[in-house]
Amino acid sequence: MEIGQVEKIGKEIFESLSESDSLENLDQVRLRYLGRKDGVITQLAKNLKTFDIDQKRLIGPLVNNLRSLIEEFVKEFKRGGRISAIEVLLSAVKLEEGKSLLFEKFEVSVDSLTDSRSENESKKFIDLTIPGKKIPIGHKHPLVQTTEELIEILTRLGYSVAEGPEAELDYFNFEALNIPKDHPARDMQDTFYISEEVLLRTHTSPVQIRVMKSQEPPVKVIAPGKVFRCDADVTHSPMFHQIEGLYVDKNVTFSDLKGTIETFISEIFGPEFRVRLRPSFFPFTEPSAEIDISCDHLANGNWMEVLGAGMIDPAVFEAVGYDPEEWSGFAWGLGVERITMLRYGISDIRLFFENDLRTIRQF
Amino acid sequence: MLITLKWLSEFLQLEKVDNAFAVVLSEELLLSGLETEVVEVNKLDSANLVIAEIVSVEDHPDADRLKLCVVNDGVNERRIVCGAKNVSPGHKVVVANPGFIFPNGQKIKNTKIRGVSSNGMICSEKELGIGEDQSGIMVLSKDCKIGISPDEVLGLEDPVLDISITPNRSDCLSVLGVARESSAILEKKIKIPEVVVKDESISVDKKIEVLNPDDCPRYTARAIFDATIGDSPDWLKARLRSSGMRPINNVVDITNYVMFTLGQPLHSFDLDRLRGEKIIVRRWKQEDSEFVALDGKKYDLSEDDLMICDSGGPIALAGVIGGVNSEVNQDTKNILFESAHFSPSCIRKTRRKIGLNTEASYRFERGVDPNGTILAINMAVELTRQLTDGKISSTVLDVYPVPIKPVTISLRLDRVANLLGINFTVEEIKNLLEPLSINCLKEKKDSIVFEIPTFRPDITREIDLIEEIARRKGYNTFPSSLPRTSKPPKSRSKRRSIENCSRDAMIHSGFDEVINYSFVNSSTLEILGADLDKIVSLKNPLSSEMSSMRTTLLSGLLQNVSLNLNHGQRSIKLFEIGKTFEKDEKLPLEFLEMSAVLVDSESILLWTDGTSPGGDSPLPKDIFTLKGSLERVLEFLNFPSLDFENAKPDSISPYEFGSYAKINLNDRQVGEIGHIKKSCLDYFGIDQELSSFEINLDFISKEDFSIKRMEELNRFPESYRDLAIVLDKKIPNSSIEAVILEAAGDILSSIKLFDVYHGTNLENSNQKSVAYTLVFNNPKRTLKDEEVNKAFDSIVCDLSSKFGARLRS
Repeated sequence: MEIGQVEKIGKEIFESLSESDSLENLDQVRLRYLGRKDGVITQLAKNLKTFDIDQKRLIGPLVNNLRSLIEEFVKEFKRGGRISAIEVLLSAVKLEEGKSLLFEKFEVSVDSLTDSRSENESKKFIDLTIPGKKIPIGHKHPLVQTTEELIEILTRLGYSVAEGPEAELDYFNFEALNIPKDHPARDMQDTFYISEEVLLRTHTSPVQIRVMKSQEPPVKVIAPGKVFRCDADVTHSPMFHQIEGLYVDKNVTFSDLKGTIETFISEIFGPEFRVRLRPSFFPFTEPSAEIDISCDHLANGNWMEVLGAGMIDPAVFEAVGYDPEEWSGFAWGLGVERITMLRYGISDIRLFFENDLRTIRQF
Repeated sequence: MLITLKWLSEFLQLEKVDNAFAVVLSEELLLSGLETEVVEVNKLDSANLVIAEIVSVEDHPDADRLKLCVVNDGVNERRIVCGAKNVSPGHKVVVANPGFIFPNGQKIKNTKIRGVSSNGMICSEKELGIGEDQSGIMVLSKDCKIGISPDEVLGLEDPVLDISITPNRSDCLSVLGVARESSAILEKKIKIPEVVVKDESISVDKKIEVLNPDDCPRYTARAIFDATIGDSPDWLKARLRSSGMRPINNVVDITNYVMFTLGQPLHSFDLDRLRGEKIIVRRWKQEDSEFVALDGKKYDLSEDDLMICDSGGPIALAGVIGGVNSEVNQDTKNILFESAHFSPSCIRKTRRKIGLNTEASYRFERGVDPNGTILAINMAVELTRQLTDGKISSTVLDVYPVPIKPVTISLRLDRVANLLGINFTVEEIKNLLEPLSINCLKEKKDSIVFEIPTFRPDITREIDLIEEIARRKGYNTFPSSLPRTSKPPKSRSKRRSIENCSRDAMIHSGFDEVINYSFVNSSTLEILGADLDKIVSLKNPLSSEMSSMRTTLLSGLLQNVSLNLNHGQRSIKLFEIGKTFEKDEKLPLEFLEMSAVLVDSESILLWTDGTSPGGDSPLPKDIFTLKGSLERVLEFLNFPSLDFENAKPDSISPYEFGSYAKINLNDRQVGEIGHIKKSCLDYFGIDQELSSFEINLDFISKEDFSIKRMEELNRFPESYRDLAIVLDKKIPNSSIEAVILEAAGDILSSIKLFDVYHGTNLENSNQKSVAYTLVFNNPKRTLKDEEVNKAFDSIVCDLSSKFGARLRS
């Protein structure tokens, strides 16, 4: 047996494998070479022992390589189809380069193999730089998104959601909150009236009163909702949204208020935000505070007002029948629009209620 | 409130009164509760400004309106062409030299105006940025030095603080008040100016009579004779201007200046115009003649309003505004100053009723120190004497029947600790409060009694003192803690779950969420079929466009559709969840509703290559897509089911006749669905077909919701049969399906409509063809063909007998 003959067989195998375009075809090729009885390679392997030692050393490994090449090709063809199987041939050629000259002598055209590969590729080619197909779904209003997120944070802190009417009695909106009829604090809130006693609530605070009147302490609620004030410009809307928080229990302190607000701000805006409290005035809390936040990457690091808060005024406890000596608590309120404007960089509050789809669909 | 740092420094003797210190102080004031900002002044290029005197004025040879002025700036005389009418030789004026740059960037140059050279400009108040007056040049006092910078005279280098005072801190509505607060912060003693009144023994033959001491606990007055009314000196004008007040004449300016300095509003009467011997403080009477105020307006008054009167009737509306009949004018010689204390609620009532907010009423409403009237009136008369050479009467008229004394408050140490979370010692508390003139009267082991100065009417309770302690300590020095709550949170309310679930379902169906104002104009509601008697209206709307509480969410949604169509949107699917309102006995009824609209317009939402599956699939855009979104909501809610009942809309309904259904739940209407009629669409300027639904979520939330139960999977094969029938167009699908279900028995597991056809291929135009896929299955065994055929035949038979339906060939 001449080495040249084996090389010739090898070349045939390469050609047959690369031309096989179906499993049936391939099976015939496999049978021809690896058939148990008269497969060409099978026969060759059987006859190896008749060769002299030098021939054995040359031909033996070659025969084994060809056998495993066919087996691997078949395996890969079944798994990944013809294109991946061709890769087996290509890598076999490469693998042997430098190691043995034998495969070179098969004179297999690597080019033809690569051609066949690229032909196959172009058939299957898809351009994945084309945009994906988004099945259209709707968009939640940005204010609703903020509200939902705030509620989610606050319920994790143990608050339950409470609700109250938007058209409210003067008593709940003002009187019970320690804002009697001739109190100058009424000027802080320009009120829409429906009748002498009925108005559109100017804040979500009347919900505090309704909740406390309807249950015994401890109380831990938030009240999200629409509120109304006669005011309209770039930063004021006659209708806007607030979320109010109320916590009443034994031994609640100003430090608890501070800690709660800080935790809450860090959850909404992120831990990199600084929080500052400064004294302010609300008739229904004492001490009262405005809460400012700042952050290096927003508004030049300037402080921005985001929240009002305070310890519940004893007069409010008296109005709802809680003993201010026994119970203490705090309340806070924030404007959802303001938070949303800060977070998304929206400069005009009126955009929220214009409902231009070009705006809403950005969120 | 605007005050300047130098003014403040008169009480505090500050070492520095520059802008940098103003910034530091404003930050400190802010953190102690006075929201303060340093006013950003447009820095004037004051190096190029000089005080000069007009030497001569001639007419411009070539222009009627221009004058040629020669001015002396202390070094040279030069010519300036000027357009102002009030130029006159001898006037001291501010001249901008060539090279001066205005805040707006404009630069003064040597130039020729109509052939005459002009070297600079004579400035008006407006041009200097210190006032609004641009009617003529600004004329300074005669005694001004020429050749120097006007900085001092104009107060240009004095930083201005803008302070927003919360309603409780009336004590800070003055330079004195802010100085008190600053003195505590800066730990610097305050010096209240001592006023030495150089009076003469001239008596005043007037008596004060206060008939309503509750409204007017104190009335103080003092007279000055032989005063000369004229312009105020430049320093006084500058002070008032920096506080945003317009200088008027020396006497009026003095009352304003003292009010800004001490917080006590003053009024000045022309003493010679007061009739009779008495000044009476009393409520308005029916027989009083009409009252004309200083602003020239007549006000409608009643017995609730407190008046200052002479024997002839009202001469001032107490604490709000004076009357023209006693006004100080150019001819006034003898003046009576009033420095009174009025009750806040009395002033507020009047102010609100007549809608007139003055600097005086603003302060009285919030509370003024009743024990400050004397200092204020003395400062006013003495300053008047100095500026007008008048003679001060030695008589001080002061009616103060029940002097208001400082209140005392007992403060419990454990109460402070319980509320603030910090244990303070007696000493610490005293050190915090005493700089505010809140002094300790008695000291016990567990409590302290404090005396509250009468200029702090906001401190009446223990809690008010606790706030002062927290404020003085500094909110940001408190430790932070989280409360240890003893309260487990409640579960989410059903109504909220329904709202959230419905919203999610609508978003999934491709609808964008909107939020509209709860108020609209009433004619919009009328167009949409609202019952006018049930509309809730606002008494004081911002505009008629926002005057009525909405009765339907469609009012906003249709406006949104119109806006978005105008912006060229072609696919518009919107929904809103919100409240509608209906008039009721006391509070209006509020309903939580959800409404959606869909516009039938062609749209390609995805790109397409013609073959790619789904790429070109047109999304269904008709009313059934809308209905499908509502069905998805019910699916999300696992809601039993709603009945859709084809119906005729009311004549006032916004819905189109023929394509309308009521949505019922247990025989109660909870919503409606249909096409909006053309007349409505026209009103909103919508030129596309539009369908909508409205549903009341409150009604739905009253239902019981079950938790989903897993259904056994079919273990036996299903049999399919298609059923296509022709029958009368008007027979509703719901009836057909009911008959099919009834006739099939329990082996029919589902019915799916797959085709509806009305058209020319049918014999009769009143007919329609409908086709269903019927799925048969028996959970216990494999169905035989005969069983299915039998059931199918029985369906066909029943449909034929009930509706005259026939199988489509």
